[in-house]
Amino acid sequence: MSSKSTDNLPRLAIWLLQRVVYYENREYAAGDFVELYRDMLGQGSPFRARVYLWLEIVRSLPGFVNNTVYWSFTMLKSYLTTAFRNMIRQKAHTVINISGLAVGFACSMLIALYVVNELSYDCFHEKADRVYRITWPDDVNTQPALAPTLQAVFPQVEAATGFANLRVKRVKYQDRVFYESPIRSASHEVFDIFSFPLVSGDTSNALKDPNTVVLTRSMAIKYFDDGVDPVDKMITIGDNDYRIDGVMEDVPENSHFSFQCLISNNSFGWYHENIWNRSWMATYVLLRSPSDVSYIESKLPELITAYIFNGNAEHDWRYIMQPLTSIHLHSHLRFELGSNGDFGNVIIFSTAALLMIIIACINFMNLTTAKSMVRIKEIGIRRTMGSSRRQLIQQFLGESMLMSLLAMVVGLILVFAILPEFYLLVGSQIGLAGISLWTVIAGLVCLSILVGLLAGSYPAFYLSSFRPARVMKGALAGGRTSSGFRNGLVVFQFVVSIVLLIGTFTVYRQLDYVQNRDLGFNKDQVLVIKNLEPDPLRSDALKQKLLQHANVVSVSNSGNLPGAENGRQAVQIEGTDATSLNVYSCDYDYLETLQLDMAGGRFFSRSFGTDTAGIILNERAVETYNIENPIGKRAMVNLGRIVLGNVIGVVKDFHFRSLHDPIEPLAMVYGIKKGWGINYVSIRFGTEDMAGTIQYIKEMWESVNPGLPFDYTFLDEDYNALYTNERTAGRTVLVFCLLAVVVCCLGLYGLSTFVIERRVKEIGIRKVVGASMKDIVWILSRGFLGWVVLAFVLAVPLAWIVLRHWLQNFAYRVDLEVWVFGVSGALALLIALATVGFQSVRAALANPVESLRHE
Amino acid sequence: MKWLSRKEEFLLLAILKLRDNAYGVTIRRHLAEATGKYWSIGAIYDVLDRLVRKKLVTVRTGAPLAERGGKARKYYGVSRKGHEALKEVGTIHSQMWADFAEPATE
Repeated sequence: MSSKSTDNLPRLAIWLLQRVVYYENREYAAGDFVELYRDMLGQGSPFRARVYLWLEIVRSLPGFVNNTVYWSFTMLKSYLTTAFRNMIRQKAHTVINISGLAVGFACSMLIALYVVNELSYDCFHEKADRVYRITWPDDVNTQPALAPTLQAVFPQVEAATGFANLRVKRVKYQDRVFYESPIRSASHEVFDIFSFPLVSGDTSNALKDPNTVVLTRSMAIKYFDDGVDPVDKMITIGDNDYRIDGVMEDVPENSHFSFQCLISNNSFGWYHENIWNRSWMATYVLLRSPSDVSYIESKLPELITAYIFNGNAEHDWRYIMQPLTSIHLHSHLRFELGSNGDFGNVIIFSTAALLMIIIACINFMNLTTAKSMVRIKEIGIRRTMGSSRRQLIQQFLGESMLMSLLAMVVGLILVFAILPEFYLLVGSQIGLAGISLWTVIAGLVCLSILVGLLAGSYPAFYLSSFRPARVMKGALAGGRTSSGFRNGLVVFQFVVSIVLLIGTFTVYRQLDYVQNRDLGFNKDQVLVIKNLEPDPLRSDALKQKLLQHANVVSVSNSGNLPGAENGRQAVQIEGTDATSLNVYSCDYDYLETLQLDMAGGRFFSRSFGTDTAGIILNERAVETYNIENPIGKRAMVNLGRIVLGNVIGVVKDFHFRSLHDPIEPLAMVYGIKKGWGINYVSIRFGTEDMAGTIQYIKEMWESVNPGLPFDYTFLDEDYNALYTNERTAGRTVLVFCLLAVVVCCLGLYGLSTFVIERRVKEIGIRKVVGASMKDIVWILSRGFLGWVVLAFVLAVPLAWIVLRHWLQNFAYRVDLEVWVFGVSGALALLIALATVGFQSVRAALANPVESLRHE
Repeated sequence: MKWLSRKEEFLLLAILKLRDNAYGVTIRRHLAEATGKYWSIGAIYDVLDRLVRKKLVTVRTGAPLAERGGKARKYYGVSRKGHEALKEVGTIHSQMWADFAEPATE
């Protein structure tokens, strides 16, 4: 017989067999191998025996693995069955637990949707990794000659194009006229650089000739009937005719720039002039290799020297190159082509999603651990009957994974229910951004399994560590190790909830204030037609016709309206310094149409012929100039060289901009004669028969302005649109507030269940000794209420700082009043009380015999 | 009941033949000799386990043995259910094979 070290199995083999052989067979299979091995040892060299043994073991692996996999599935089935039975037995617990996780999942999924969409910007371009935008360090717009020069000078540049944002808006084909915005121009390289597939037409020819255009599909549909191919048709844009070279798919939502159609750059005079001294183009280049960036970037100053400074290198001008896919989140220059996102937001939201999941996990852990007290006997029996600790752990993990999967399903249902509201919130219908459905499903399943494992691990190890003897005796496993952590978590959740409660109150109070404040004009019942190609004669004719309708109260042609942007000019009143004034151009009926009030003097009046040369100030302007009696004084511009007119009246201040800004000094001039623009027709109408009135207005418009689109809005809607961001903020805060409160309640519910279950005996003894129900509820609740009060104390300064910052966006705002804080705190306390109280009352009502009979 | 698979059938027959000495190593040796093919220990345990689950075999654990490194043998025996199952396939076999003849050579 050979020595022990050689005639036994090698350690590696033992380890391997431990892993792969189903435990019931392990000993015997190992024994068989030893027997075979020793047989071989007796016949030949130890080395050959070794080789033989290993061959045997390796060839056995498939059979063992097959067997083990079978058993794992069988065990899984058994765990799942047990888990389902447990879940059904404790319905309330299951519902609360699953809904808490589901809310967390739903929240994270929505946030993930948003984040993925933000990150996906411009990734749909196949050559995105080689496309760069060339800009000034602070400004997107570069010279028209830049793109062609780059392409000609650098062999590393495969293609380059500049986009110009064109001012033309009116597009006409046969009898169909619409305003389109934005309309851009580009050179034919655009189709080499970007992935804009054509539905009809050929990219190799598109936009090569002057006076050609490529439409987007959604634009083409407006002008051409189904079945008509727009290619090679002529369409009128502004005053020129263009040949349609193709129709392309709409620019995807996740592109940092967009357009309705592209006109070829070489249609315009400037394209042929090699302009280097003015900038209005967004320039994009496609490099042959991404590694050429640094070379090109280092050569750009020389380009500036050569073309802008005629060879003089003493300048500090430079271009920067932005990778296409980073523009949306990282570029915030002047004249961006669209509104870009913010990388900071992406980080904040991702963190919020992660936090949401973690909180949901911990709440889940608390609830499960709490409920374990109920199952402690079951565990004891299982262990006494020979269940191994590992089996118990597996069983609990199985349960939590099952819960987690169910929660994921519920969460998905929630997501689909919230999706329409979510689209409103983010302002667009964002999709999965090209990620395949299977990836998403696999990701979600992995996430729920991971969460199940994480959330289930603590209860699993905690519960399985109970010693059967002690458990059966009724002793609870001690250890207050993690109670500080648990309480901290509840405090944290309440801080978040209270801040959000205060935030919701304040945002909605401010929105209410903004909407109901007297603006100094009446924005209701006014229809506005945007008149981009005005003509004074036709405007007057339209006014006369409109006034014939019984329901039209008054009509005004004006260059400006409250809520829209307006120009400024430095104006000087006789005897004062020049001040920058907002200038409004209007006509006789402006006062009546907007229902403004005069503070002194008179508005432009038909009975005074000289009024057309007059000027009207608002009260703030009079204050700014600091003049006692402005009426009759002369107003001048251009350092007094040009007389604007005499001041004929003072209008009461009105909020011609949103309440974000204080009222600024304003001058109103009679604009019609000076040709200052009459871009808006505002029509005040009565409350009767709105549809009929609008129809009448439309007919009159079309008879007076044939060929111009009837593009109308309502003044109140336009004005309220100034608060879109605040309304979005309000909705976001409200949604998150509700979610936070729900999650918070679940957290507290879990913790209170946990604590109360531990104190069942104490309660029993107290009752026996004579404590009243009120006493017991108080004893059980006071700890939690203390935590909520602490959370409130922490939340108040936080909310105050954040909200004061937010309110500073508004020049006119509500105060941060004490009662808002009070009410929010009280509400939080009430919610906490309801959650804990319910449990405490139940515990207090329980018969002490139940809890003490084992003693 | 489902019929025995070919492997199960062979294993049962091997156990039957080995009588009181049917355990992993001997079963494997017998099968290898009878069929002329390689049988791995792992494959044998997989099938044996299936037979145990179907209660076609009975199991008896022996005493730990020094020549096995202090490990015991697990002896297998065919149960009554196993006998019936074997008989069933055996009958079907003989019926199906009754008319089998070598193709005539010309």
